[in-house]
Amino acid sequence: MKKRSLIKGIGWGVLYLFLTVAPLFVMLVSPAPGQREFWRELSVSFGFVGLSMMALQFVLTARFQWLKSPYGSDVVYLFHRQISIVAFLLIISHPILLFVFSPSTVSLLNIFTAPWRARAAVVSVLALLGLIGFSIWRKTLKLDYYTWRIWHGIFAILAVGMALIHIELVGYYLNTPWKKILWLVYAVFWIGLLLYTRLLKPLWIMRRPYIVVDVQEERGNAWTITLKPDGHQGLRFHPGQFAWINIRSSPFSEKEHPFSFSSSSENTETISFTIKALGDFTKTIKDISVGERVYVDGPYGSFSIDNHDHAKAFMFIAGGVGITPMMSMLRALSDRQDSRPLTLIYANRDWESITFREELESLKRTLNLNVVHVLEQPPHGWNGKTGYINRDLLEGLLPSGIQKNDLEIFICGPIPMMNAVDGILGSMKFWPGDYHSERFDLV
Amino acid sequence: MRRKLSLAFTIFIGAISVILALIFAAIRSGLVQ
Repeated sequence: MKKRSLIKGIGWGVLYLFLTVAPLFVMLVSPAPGQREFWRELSVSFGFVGLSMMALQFVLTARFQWLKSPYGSDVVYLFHRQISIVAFLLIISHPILLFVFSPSTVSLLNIFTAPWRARAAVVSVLALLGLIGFSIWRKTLKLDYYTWRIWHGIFAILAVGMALIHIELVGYYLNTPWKKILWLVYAVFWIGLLLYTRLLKPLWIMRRPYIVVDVQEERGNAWTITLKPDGHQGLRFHPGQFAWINIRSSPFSEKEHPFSFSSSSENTETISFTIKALGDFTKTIKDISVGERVYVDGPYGSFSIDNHDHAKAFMFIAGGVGITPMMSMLRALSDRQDSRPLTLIYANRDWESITFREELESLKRTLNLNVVHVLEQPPHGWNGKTGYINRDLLEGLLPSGIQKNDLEIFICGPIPMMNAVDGILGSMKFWPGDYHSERFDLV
Repeated sequence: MRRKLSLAFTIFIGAISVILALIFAAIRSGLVQ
């Protein structure tokens, strides 16, 4: 499984590189238009590659599970953010090189007198600036997540759409019918992707609604909502995966949020999500009524024991509500009567806020499970672990008789905790493929 | 670690893109035959 995932991961990487630089090869194919100065060709090359990267951004965020599975959704979103800076630098280099080496082209910035090809380019670059600016300074600009998502979509479509129009109107590298067709295919593919993500997928989700059948309060200011498919078979997921949930709005709206399944994947009747009341949206979870309609887009993510069948033992490291995907995995392992050794290191503020505390105790009876609570503010008389998860604690809890390579470790919790544990495991010489985390700090 | 790999891949893609753009521009402009 690991090898297949690695091959798939490398394969997608190679394809990404090929698609990014493909327009450069099209530039060279005979019959090429007349020769021009080096800096002008360089400017155009940067523009083409930058646009390619921008168009591919839509593929990265289109929620294709088959694409994301080798890396994890969070890493694909991280790459989406990182490569956007590279794409921006390449695209902005296109006009800058023109302005530097041919100062008369600055007049093309005057949208009142400029030809349409330049107007399209100006709108594209402005949209790109908006796209990057709104994403980097979303919190500074006090943009709420929904508004940001709407503007992100508008700016992205404008940036790529106008750039494609710009290429068509300039027409320099569209000097043969087949090159025109190639760019047309490129545009059709991009528009098709847009139609799929913005129209077809939401329509499909809308036809598969879920009904809330239970809302349960949990320890630690968390709530579990249980959903039942309404008029369809529901979905199958791997324990540890997540889905995008849409409550009180249509799947066409941007008001959806990613949450991990907390129920066992072996339960095919209902699905559950346990959500901590942390933000504006999550604080309203407790007000959801039984019978309300919910839309679910999923499952997503590669954070699952099912991707590591070879493992001889599992270690789960959770902080606070980061227990939810672990709970799904533990419940599934219990339902499957799995006998492998399991260790759960569970960090919380205090004893009373430990979500699923009682159920974890009962799971010890059906699983070969060692639960280690780590409390920041332990109660009087506590003789368990205190403070934060550190190297000494982890080393002391590694299952005996199990090779590092045979142990798979899952980490989920607050970002600082995940960063710290990632660092500790790295320093303990664990192979990066043996410890897994997924983060939802998308923007 | 996966996050470091993502950054490394970003830098790699960026570097390859710039190098290829330079090569292709050189070929197209006749600097390199």
